[in-house]
Amino acid sequence: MSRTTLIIKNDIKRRLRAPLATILFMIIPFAMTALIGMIFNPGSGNETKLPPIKVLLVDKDQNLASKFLIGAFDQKQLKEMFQATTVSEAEGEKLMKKGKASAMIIIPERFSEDLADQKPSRLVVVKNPAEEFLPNVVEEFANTMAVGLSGLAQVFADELKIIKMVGNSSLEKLSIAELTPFLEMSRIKIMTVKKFLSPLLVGLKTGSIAKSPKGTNVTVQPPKGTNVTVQPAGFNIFAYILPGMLIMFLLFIIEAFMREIQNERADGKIRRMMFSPLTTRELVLARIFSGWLLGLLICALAMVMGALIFGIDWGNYLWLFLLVAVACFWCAAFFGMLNAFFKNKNQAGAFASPIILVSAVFGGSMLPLEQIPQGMRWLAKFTVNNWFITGCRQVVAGEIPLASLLVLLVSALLFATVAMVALQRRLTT
Amino acid sequence: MKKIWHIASLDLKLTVRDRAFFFWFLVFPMCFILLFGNLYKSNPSDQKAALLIVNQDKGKWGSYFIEKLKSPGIELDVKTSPPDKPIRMLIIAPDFSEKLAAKTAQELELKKDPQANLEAGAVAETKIVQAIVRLLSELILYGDRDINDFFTAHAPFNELVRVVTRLPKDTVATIPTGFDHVIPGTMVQFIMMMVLIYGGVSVMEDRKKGVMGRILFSATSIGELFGGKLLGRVLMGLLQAAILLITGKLFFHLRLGSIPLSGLIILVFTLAIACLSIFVGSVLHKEEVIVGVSVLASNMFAALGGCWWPAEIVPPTFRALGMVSPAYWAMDAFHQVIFFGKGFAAIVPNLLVLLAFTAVFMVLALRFFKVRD
Repeated sequence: MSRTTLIIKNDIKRRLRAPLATILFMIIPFAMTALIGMIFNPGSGNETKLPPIKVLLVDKDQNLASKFLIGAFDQKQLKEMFQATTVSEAEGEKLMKKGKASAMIIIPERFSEDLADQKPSRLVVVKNPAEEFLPNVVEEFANTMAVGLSGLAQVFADELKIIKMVGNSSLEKLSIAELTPFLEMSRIKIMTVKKFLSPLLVGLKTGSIAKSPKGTNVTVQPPKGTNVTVQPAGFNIFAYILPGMLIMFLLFIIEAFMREIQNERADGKIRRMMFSPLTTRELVLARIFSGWLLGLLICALAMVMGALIFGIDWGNYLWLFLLVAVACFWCAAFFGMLNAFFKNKNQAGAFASPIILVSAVFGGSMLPLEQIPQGMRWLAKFTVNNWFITGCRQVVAGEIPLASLLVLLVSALLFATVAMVALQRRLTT
Repeated sequence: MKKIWHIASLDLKLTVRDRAFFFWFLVFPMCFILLFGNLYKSNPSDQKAALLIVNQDKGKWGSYFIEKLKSPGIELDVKTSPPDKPIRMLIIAPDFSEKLAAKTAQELELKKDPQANLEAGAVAETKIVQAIVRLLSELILYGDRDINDFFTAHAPFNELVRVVTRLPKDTVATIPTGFDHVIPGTMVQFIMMMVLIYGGVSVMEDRKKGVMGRILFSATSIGELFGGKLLGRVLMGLLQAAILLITGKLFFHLRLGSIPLSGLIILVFTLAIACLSIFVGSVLHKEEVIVGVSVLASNMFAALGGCWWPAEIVPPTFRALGMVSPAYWAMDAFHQVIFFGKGFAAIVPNLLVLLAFTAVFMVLALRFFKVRD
């Protein structure tokens, strides 16, 4: 057995003898993936749904238009989306102050009459200040209702006037003969409207832009009548989260392992090793290789666990293995290089962890790459996290992660070269 | 008391002198704040949903529909052919005008990247629906007249009903920004992380190196030593909070509501975490393990407690589960004070729960606190 192999064997053995920290750093990505995945899991049918939005409705109009608006919340589709409760204004204000609902819609007095008279009116949406998203959904819904009511009021302007007149008159004063022309006019209007609405003259169909295994764009259609985002078939949210978490904690594990060089330098172990027929080159090579091997073992274990626990289909195992192998090599080479420039263990610890965390924040480990604000997205290109995550997604999607492999391999070779030269120098001084 | 203060201030000094202090206490939380603060800009006027329109229509109606689509809250980018990597695009077919003129039913196609911002996608979809309603209303009003004269003879859509928004009376005056939401969450998370890591590791190291044993050779009792360690960790948490609050005030115009009440929440929360850090440092023997446990605990508590994402989008089961996290009670108290302008009475239940956490962690810390290994 060569001297290099012996060192590698010894390094791995030593690590496995006290595995608690390594196990902990493996548990963390799984725990985080499980938690985030369960909270945001699209569920059956791959549909991403928000919890029911609590809305308070205040009807100060008590007339046709307000009944129409409130009635809309009874529709099946909207009932699933909103949990609407009709309250008085005072009660509503009290509940809103306690943060008991996402928003409150106030329908003003004379709302129906103003619509009939073609006068402008206003719906008031009171938003919960402690919530960030759901009040905006209610506001947009109110905006849509406002446009719809404006359209209806204009299309049925004459009819609304008659309804208002009928409402204001006593039945004794009205005769069918008087109403007949208006009924005929309404019949014609409804027939005209029908031409535009049945079938809808301009409709909207939504679909997802998803990448097919061959890399071509396909569109996934949602079931009719649903207002939810439909993920591509086979979408597994855990496969989406785990690579980001894994690479972040892999960096921590390999960093801690490579930092051992500093300990061994400080306590004279390396100097003692040099008394044996061992070159610094062999030592550095062995250490980088050990780091790579440790990373590979951890990744393999994590990915098997990911498949078993979260049901992740990792795609082509050959490409996945290559990607993981190159990423682990990158990590070992990078931290090997950094340790060549650090004077001691404390300095290494102080600088390495911030580098890992900043790289995780901007590289897509803590937030999906697409969600990172545009102005900060370029930073991701300089992180191993970004290339690893992108590569994993490509492999899962059945693509070849060529760009990721190339970038990681070239940079890893560069780091390894610098590490070989600088670490040898550091160990001999 | 003087001895307690002396031990505590020394611990704090050592923390501040650490090489990575500046990063952990300021730079890293700032990265979080910048990233998530920009992401969760809650005021819709701050954040526009981007929509790419691929207008392949050969007639006038495609452009007319785009005019109807223009409204606050949506940013339109009109192109004639689809790009390689669209995030969200509306396709207007080449025969859009032709079909409209012939009054033949047709569908516009909205394609969305499922990994893109869901809220922006929903806003874009709603705006398109609104534009369709406007267009159809105009067409219905125009009736059976010659469609070719539509652009010169139609009555424009009148927005009779408008929506105005406001906040509940006697709460905040302006809509909170993303930073108002993110900074308290980040602060709570980093108080946990920093106090647990720094506090836990230093308790372990002081024990292993015999520092605590040597302190007891002076006229210091074990109670004073424990008190000093506890106060030291409370001061670490308060320092972390102060750094983030001052930065938040200076750079992001953070609104804190009542400053004394917010301060009280921070104090009680930090006390609970300080006790937990002594417990962690007492039972664990390796720095790496303490860091791992602290990262795991603080991240789990933060995620469940509503520090990472708005609690309202979390399913009810997980919201209920979040109550096991001290962060949940601190965040809820912050919401009461910052967003609803509530007084002391409103946060008493939260403070009591946090004190209950403190009592449990204190019992554990006292039970396992060791001077020597």
